Amino acid sequence: MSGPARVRAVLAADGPDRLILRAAVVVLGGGATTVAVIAGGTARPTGQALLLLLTVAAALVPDSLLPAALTTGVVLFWGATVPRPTGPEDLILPGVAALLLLGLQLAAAALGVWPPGARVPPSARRRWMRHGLAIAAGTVAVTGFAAALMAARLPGDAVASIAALVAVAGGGIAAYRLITR
Amino acid sequence: MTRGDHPRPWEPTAALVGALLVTLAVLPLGLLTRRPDLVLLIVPAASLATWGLATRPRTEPSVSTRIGPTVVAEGGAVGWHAYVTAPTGAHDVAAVIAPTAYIFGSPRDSALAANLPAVTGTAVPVELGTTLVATRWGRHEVGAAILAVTSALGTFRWTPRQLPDATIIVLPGKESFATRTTMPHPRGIVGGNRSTRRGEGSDFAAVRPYGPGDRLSRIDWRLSTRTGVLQVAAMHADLDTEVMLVVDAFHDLGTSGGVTGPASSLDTAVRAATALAEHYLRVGERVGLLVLGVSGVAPVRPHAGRMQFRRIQDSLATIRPGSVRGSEDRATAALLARIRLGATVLVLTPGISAAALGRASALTASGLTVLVIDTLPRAATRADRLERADLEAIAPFTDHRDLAATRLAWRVRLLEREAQLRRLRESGLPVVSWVGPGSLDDVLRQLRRRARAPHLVRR
Repeated sequence: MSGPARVRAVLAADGPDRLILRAAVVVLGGGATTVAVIAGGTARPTGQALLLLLTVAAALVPDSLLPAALTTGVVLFWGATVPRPTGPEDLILPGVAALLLLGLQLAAAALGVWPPGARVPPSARRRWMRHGLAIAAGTVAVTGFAAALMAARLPGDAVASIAALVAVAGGGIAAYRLITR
Repeated sequence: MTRGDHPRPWEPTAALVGALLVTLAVLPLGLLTRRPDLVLLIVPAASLATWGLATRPRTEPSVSTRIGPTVVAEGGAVGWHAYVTAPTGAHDVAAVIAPTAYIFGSPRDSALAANLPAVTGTAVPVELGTTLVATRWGRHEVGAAILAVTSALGTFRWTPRQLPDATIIVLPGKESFATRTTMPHPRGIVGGNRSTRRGEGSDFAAVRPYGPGDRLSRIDWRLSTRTGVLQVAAMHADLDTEVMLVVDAFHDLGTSGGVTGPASSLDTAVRAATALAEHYLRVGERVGLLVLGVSGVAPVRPHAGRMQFRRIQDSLATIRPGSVRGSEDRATAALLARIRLGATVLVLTPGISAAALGRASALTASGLTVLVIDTLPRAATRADRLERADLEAIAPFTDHRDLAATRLAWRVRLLEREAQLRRLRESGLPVVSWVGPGSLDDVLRQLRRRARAPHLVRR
């Protein structure tokens, strides 16, 4: 079997539902990178190329840690290229990027649920949409809350920062206990 | 109904582990660098992880499978069904059925998915089901499958060990066959073949004077009046014949494409044997079966009746070619020694095993009526036109460079085969190719004529 024929056979065996989800990973990963570039104001070809590679890899092997690596890559790229936000309006683009990353993670998770060739039941598709929209609504709410806090110009507090870090550590331990129970 | 073995717990998926790692790596970074935008970027990952952990199923699902019917004809459908009872928090179930040679479903029928409804009180099993088509006779292990149940957002997965398969017996399909020519050596008690001796039959033999024991209904009144002596019409007896089908399964040559595709030599032999058995049992003959070249297939002794057809089909379905141990000739001789005198022997062979052809010749010499039916696929007789896959089916390569050598070797083997078949024909053993209905008419007619002629027999 020739190369293109083999690729066509693999794509056909994957099924249209999974192909759409793979395409969603590529589009949403590329979209998140593009938003980061727009927010940073300057192109970073090396970083963008690395993120593009990670995006393609995540689409090819979605049931792995590659989607998480892509998310981490986008966040690091963002932290390195985008200046610190100074006003509530600076949180609009992070909110948009967060929604794109949400779509990417959901698509990658869904690809790990349904095997190649399977038809995704419509009821399952609706439930995933409902859950995704709920998380998206939560993300928008958190973005709005963060914007409100920035607008209020509350002073920083070392105790609050330490408490937040302790909470993150506690959350990590709790998650570990829940998984290994 | 088969219950799957499933001692495994729910396990976190890569999606959950990834979301947790991203959250735990980036959140402190955002807090330490006072970057609310970085924290915002991982809100979805944190939400996904929290949701998954909060709704993790507490108990294990139960799975059972049902595969059937366990006996089907070629081209028949086999149903595969899994019943999953899942606990609260389990949302999706998917299964992939392992492919089996000659048991086909479309790729989309081998991967199944279903939505688990939210459990409200009593859990109702969810059914995953598909239909597979059995395309070739034989015994097949069908339905081994991997199943996975996942929780909300694909964060936890439960997978039992491989779901068990089931043995499906696919009975050989019948090629269309019919013949109006009767058998040459009827030696039974009652049947449809005209015997050479007189008796209660339907074919007129002669007119003779009335004797004690003659039926009154046989008296020819017109002739009796004319001659003044009672005359009766003597008839030929109608007797049955013992037909012994001998399938040469030492080799299976050619590509088998199932019931709708090309037929290998053994496909042709098995389907032809089924058709012959059905035909001769229907007309009242006693039919038996011997399979050469396989172990584990017991000879089927000649009997008449419907059950005999099923016995023969069952035996044919268990053939695994070339599974006999020891010398071909000894195995063949031991089996053919079971054939009783007076039987008509139909040998279905691709003509490659010298032992089978040699023993068929010996049977003829011992006075049996033997007919060799050539089952080698026509495509396999043209060595120069065989594709790589065809040659691979005849003799599996160990090296890609074997192609030319295999083609040459096959050509030489075909020449030897032709010479062997020619010698058989010259010694008076008829050899015909199987072409379905009417394949045997001419040769059976010749055998009948020859049976009536006096001839020498070496015993």
